[in-house]
Amino acid sequence: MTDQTPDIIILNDRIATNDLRTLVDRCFEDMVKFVVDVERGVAAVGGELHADAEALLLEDGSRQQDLWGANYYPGRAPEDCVEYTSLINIRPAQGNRSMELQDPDMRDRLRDLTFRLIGTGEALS
Amino acid sequence: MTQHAGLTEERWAQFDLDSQVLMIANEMHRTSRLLDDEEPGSRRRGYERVLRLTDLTIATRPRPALRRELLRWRDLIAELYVEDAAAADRHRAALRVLLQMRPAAARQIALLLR
Repeated sequence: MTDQTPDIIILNDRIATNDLRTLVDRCFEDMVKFVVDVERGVAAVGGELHADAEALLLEDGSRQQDLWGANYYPGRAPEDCVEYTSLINIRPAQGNRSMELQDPDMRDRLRDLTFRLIGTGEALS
Repeated sequence: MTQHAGLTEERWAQFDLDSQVLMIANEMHRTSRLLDDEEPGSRRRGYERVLRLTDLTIATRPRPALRRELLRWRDLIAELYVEDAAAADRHRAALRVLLQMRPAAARQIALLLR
């Protein structure tokens, strides 16, 4: 199963631990990149670039304005396991002028989706 | 004339993407040491080298997603380049995100961003 895991998975439900472990180990070893659609409540996890996950969600019917990128670090405390940073977050038209997601409400929505679909920082081993 | 002005696209394309990203990161790291200089000239020359290598990478890498991320990243460096004052925190954040574009480069984060 692990060798056949796609590079990027679109999640409607909680990811299986084995799949998450595969995605983490495949690329960055200590973290996995992901993009959430805060309106549809789905996430695309994995891949080398947030732009790849973004493209997948756009093909899946997401609107770009609803997509926000971040990094997930397993093995960290819940308050530290999400890094709200991605180049796709630079969207001056929506008031976000930096890589870091600035709006507190949007950060909360991203965090809540992360906790539901990916994890709260639990170690994978 | 910037240091890499004579570097051609053809020459740059001979390097694999991991090497290209690491060489850009190396220039960013060198520029890190110039951020405390009161005179902005050396810092700006550092960013010129970074922009030059980034532009070469964009020109030689046709993958759309990568090109999009590199262009967004380039905008961050362009902002750092034109500003009068150094911005060490944003410089470090940009370097970190660059290294996170490639798994091989990401392994350098602990070394370069202690």
